[in-house]
Amino acid sequence: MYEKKHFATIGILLIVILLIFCSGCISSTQTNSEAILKIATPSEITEASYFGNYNFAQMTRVTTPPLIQVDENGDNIGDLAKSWTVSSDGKIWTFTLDPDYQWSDGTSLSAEDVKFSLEYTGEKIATSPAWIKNATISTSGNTVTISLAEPVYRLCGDLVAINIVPKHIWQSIDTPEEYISNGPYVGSAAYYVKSIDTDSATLILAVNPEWKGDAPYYGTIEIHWFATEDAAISAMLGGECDTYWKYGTAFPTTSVALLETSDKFTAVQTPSLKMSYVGFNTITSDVGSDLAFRKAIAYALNYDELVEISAAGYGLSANSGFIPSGVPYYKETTANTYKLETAKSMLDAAGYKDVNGDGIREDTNGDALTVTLLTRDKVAGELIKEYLEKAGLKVEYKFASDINAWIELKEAHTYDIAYNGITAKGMMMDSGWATGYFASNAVGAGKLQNVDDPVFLELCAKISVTPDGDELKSLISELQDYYAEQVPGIALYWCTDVTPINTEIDGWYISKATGIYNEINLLSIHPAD
Amino acid sequence: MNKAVSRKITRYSICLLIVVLLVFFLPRCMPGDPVQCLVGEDVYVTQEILDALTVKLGLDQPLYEQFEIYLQDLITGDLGYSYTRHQNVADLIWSRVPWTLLLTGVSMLIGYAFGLLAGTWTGWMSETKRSKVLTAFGVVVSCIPPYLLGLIFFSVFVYQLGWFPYKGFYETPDIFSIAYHMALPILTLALFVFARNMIIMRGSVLTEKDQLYPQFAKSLGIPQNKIIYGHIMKNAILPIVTHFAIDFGFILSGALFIEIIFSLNGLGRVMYTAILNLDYPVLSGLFLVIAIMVICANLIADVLYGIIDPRVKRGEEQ
Repeated sequence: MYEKKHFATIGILLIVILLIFCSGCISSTQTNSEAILKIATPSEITEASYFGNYNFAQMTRVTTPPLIQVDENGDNIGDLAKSWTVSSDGKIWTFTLDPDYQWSDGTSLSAEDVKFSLEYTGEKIATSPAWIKNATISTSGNTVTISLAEPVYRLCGDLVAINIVPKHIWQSIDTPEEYISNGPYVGSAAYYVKSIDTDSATLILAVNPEWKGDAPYYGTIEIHWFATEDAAISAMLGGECDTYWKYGTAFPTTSVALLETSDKFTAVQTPSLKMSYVGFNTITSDVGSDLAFRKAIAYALNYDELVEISAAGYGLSANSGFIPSGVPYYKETTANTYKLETAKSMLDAAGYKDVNGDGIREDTNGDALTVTLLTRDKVAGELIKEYLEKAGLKVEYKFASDINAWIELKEAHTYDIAYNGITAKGMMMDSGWATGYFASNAVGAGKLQNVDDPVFLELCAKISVTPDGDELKSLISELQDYYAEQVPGIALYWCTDVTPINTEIDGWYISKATGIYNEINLLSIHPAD
Repeated sequence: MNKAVSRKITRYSICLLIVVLLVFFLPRCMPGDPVQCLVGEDVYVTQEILDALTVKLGLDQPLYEQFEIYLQDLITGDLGYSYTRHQNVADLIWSRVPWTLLLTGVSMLIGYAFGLLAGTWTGWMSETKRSKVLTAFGVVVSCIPPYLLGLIFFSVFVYQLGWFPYKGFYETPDIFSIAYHMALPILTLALFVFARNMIIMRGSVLTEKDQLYPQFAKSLGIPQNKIIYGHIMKNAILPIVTHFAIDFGFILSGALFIEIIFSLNGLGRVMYTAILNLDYPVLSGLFLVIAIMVICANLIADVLYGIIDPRVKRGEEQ
């Protein structure tokens, strides 16, 4: 009896060991040193400057990762930090580091590297977040604690963009933005930067020999940049590259039809944080500051047609609460609908009537109601112009052909209505939830700064210092009500991201913030069976 | 002789002075705010940060003070500091000049050499069918702007046929790889230069061949090739020399589009990104360098004129 029990125990143990061994074999991929993944991108690296070139910094985010990253749903998840906690008042943030990350030159990655990176960025980079300078950063074992003077709701959003770099390398470099090197750059993730060559327009990532996590399949990742989107797409479709990526934007919707001509690629659609909108000049424009006018215009725009033509069908009609459904604390509000007759009667009721019967409404002084429309997009601009004219307005059309013309015109507030776009990153800048695009006290090239209503500015101020939780949720709900009731802008459509997927490769993981160029994806992709 | 030289020096010095004024003030007349361009569109920055950056870049000072500093720096050979690229403008330009000169220089060399020969031949044999076909080809090609020619070539030879690479100066930094990568961009620009010069040269030869001296040479029994390439070509080349000086700036701007189409990181691309980012120091530095190159080209043309046509030299002396 005793022997039978003994054998049974040994048998079970053997089966368990076998199962563990097999599962280990299944889950851990072997790196194929010969395998190369080639990524085409129009995000050009003009200088091999890690801190000085914006695109290079984005591309090295997978080699010297930040503490936090954004997942496929748009939520913040751990990257270099395995986990983190935050005090109830939102001032003390403690991050525990993931031991899988080790520097590729054999040096151990420590909490001191994180402390150094945050302080180094705060001190050396002019546009670094202001809270770093006022924070106290301390380390203990493999944890880093950031003590803030005031709670900063967007701390995670800021940390996503701060690469953790090796202290032993960078501490001797006094002007990091001027430092140029063709590599290698010591990295801590599965890959490190082996070399960069701006003359051949190629960045090469090699497997980090010190990496302790799951092994990636591809031994080398090559990023090839091109001067134009068209050239990058041609390179992908022509078989020169395996996939396409561009920081901050998805695949151009106007080129999606090209994917259908290829057997190798398929288009995957995911809801985006990006959107298009029109903003009203509520500060210096007579009609823009008239709430009744703004509400009437919300019915004059043909949202479905805008999605079909301006977004080439890759978008969703938006709600009056403005922010897209994928953004945290989104709540359902009334859908924006096109009702031209309602818009006309609302304009009549607001005092903008066509008295002389010439088809153009008159303003309260009896002059033809002329609105100045500023746009950065010709297609959307022409459509909006047409909608406004159908509602009986005379439209003066201003097209900003480039960013410089746009800055000049929007800073001078020389418009009544302006068409603009919101990026995924921009959605959460300043006080977040698209407030940065409206608040008159925000600064930046992409922002309209068209609302100086004290109620709105106070709401923004409260949001920016409220830690994550019920109170923040309530404030964001209040903000969406403000968007719906005060109509400082009208969401035209919420974008849908299109990602070209190479069907010869499996395991694609698309981050809401960085698309296919993320650590999880680089570890999971492998040739299809 | 001395008077002629001093007149030329004065003329070019005034030209350079006007260029310096223009290269400083023109970029600053462009709309937009360079500091806002520098920080980007979707970033969180405070007004204090923007103000600090404005001071750091010296853009808070009055324009005349900025010009004074610019002139002082220029005298010491300092073209300024690029605030978007975080490096000295002179270093940036010199690192890109060899590549752009390789592209434009070789294109011009090929384009001019073949353009001169073909233009002379089509002018002399203007009644033959082959000459007419070549002339028609030249007219068509010279009417196509270089960027369109580049796009057509990219689409056909790179994307459709796969004969040439998509981008870059090389894959590995060796002579064969560079030659392979530069072949199509050079061919595009050279074809354009060739067509323009062939047409000019043809017209010039048509005028020359009706003169009495070719007939006199023929009656003396001088071989036809010697008459064409030894006498007529030499006299017909003068408009080409003038054209060379004017063409130099045009070719550089054509190179900008070629560099964009073939993703080449040369001077043209530097200029393109500097315009988009309102990088004043880079724009001023580039315009100055290009203007100096064009002035030098004019100077060379002046000297060549005197050598090719001694009457010009004699006229200046008188």
